[in-house]
Amino acid sequence: MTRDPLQRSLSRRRLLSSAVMIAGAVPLAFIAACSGGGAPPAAKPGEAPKPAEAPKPAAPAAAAQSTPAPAAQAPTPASNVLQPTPTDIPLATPVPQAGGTTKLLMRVHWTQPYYNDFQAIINDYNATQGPQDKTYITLERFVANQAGPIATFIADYQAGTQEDIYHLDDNNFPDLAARKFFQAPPKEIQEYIKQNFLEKAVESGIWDNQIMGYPTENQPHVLFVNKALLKEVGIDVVAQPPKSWDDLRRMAKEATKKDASGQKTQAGWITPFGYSGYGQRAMAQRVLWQFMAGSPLVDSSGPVPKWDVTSDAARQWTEFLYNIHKVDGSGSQDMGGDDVVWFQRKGAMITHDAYGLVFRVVRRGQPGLLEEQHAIPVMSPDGSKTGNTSRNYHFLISQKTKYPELAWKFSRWMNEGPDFRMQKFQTEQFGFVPSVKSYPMPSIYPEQIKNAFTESLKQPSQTLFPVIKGVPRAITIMGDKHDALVLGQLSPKEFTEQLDTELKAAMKESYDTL
Amino acid sequence: MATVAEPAVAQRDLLARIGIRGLAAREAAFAYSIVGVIYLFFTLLVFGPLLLALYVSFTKWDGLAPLGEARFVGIDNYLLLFTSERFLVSLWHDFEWTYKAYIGQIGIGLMLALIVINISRYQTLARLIAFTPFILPIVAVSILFTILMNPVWGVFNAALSFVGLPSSRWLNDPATAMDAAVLMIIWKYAGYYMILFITALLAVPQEYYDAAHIDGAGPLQTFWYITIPTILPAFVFISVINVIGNLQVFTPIFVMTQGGPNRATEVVVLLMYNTAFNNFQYSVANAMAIVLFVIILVLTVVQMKVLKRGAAAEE
Repeated sequence: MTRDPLQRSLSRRRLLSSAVMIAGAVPLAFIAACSGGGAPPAAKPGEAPKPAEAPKPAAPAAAAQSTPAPAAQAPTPASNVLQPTPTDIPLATPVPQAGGTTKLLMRVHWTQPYYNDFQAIINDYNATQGPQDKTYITLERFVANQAGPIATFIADYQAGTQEDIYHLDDNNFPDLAARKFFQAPPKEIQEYIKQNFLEKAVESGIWDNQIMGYPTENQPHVLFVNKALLKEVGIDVVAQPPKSWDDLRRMAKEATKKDASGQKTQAGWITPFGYSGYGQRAMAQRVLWQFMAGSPLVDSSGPVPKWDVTSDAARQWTEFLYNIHKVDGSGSQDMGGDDVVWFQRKGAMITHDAYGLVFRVVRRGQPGLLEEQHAIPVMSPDGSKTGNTSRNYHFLISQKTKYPELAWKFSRWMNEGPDFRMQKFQTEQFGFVPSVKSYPMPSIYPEQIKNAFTESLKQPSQTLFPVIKGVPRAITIMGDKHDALVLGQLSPKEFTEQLDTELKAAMKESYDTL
Repeated sequence: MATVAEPAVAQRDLLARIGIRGLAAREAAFAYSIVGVIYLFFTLLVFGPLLLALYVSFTKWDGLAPLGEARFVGIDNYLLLFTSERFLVSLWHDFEWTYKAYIGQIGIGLMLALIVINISRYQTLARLIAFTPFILPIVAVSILFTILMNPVWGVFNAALSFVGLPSSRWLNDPATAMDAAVLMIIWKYAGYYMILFITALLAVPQEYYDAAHIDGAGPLQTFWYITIPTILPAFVFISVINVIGNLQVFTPIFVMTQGGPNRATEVVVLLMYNTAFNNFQYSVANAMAIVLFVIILVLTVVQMKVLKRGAAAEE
């Protein structure tokens, strides 16, 4: 035994008194901190959190059927009460395989209840069209994160356990397409896609002059502005929308708030930062805003694409970011992830893909946050032009599938008219802008936001997320340099030089690999 | 009529025919056959992939083309690594993570162990409380700490404000992100090391303490001259596994910061992962893995030699 009697008595007294002190003081400090003056701003003094006026949809399927929240009334301030965490939903049960059918595998990255809603569509196919096509679709789920799907795709591809049908984002499409991961559809399918889907959405899935698959949705961007937060600082963004980048900068500055200790409590400009997909969004925003300033981010006309971060247009966007974040202090880079700042109602403006409205604002935002959103199309620096970008996922068929004809039959059933099942699923469940020509906008969108997307997509200024090899590595480079710029660790000149050098090296390696 | 002894005789004859004669030889053959299964397992699942990784590190391969198409490039990948500032910085981040986590996990683990074994009541409850973070999933804990460390509404900053201390940006500032992530890993694993130290401390013979007490040694002298030298062999093991584990850190960084902000927390395994799956540079990633393996091997050998020499000197 190791207990010395003298040591034991001395230790016990000291230990007990220390334990009492720690056990009493620490929880008290935490409780007081969470409920008292040291806590972050909760409800405003004297203002109790207001209950939501419109009932929140219980699941995205319900959102598809519910009417949009009433827009006629003046929006009430969004509550600061957090939404309850949804309880986990069991995976839906697939229907049994019918005799005489061939099994094909499809993997998706969605969580419940989206996975379950998609399983319902698959069940419908397996119960009706599938037996006629002699096909049975098995649905599985994989973990999606920045590099998550790629790692599993590659591992499965090498092991021979790859899926037959992919639902893949545009980040990874070019690198995999260049490595013969997918097979092009028959000519008649390519022609159908060309005729029925938006031009830029189709273009984002072209490799080696072949349309490789159906675009399943569209992810253009707008500047989502919280009109209620701006109204609090005297800006009526509806009556007097911004007309230039200078206007945006001024509005962001006025909408920024700090508490007595200098801690920022509200950011005028919500910026991608840190983790949560920041590199991808930093890239997507540059693709669009720099394009609107007059120069596309990537010139892919030569054998090795060239990234332009040194032109006047590129520098203009760089300086805008630097001024917003470092000079004016209006950015959210010191407040955490951009999405959290948005749905926690701590930021006034964010450039975001269309899906953000359902994924962030409706699903995770506070009651009333949707009604506070006002969409402004991304504009040129002088406000004379507006435009948009296309980002898409595609329905693709594996090069290694043993049953390409069956796979394409299923793809046609999912993606073609008159039902456009995949399109309906994407718009109604996720709130994506459609990629099918003339397909209605998601019903959950308020009218103003529908109109903003519709108008910006009609403009002649449309660019594309780069369809070149090396995009994932460019995204991480872009994200890291963007972090350094908004933190003020790099001047605009240094940012431009370093980004240019690293992107050139990345392109050289990406196009040297094969 | 067949007897029980006949199969044994047949077996003995069989072994004799292949040169294994005598009881000792037969017993040795039996032992080798059991161990051989384990060695086969090890070769197929550990040694084999290691050799393959070593081979791939001398080639240029994107991970998707057939391995036969990989082009031999000699030591180019290694030269690329040792001239790459990014790789060298990530190595430094690995060392930074390791020494900070080492001091925190082992220091606090030892302190907790000393406290727990010296209380006579609620010892089991104390061990349970201290050990509980270890059994929580690392991903869940990483996400939890990300939320707690939010600069605006995180509980940590609220607590700091309450006691009058300035708030921190935690994971959102390159200057503090690494320390914030290390804080999480110390919290998670200190209880695990506490258990290991408790085992070692309980093995110290009471007679040593009795003798020290008779000789008039105080608590600190007892700890320094009796406890530490006696638990040194166990400390070697604890130290080695701590360094091996921390040099290979990946999950908390991937979940909490993904190497940011601005690569401030980019460690070797994360860079390896992105190099393989974002950049399709499988062979370069394999070279990183080999370099990390060699570093861990060298550090392990050095630790064992230095610490074991210390233990032997004390004996």
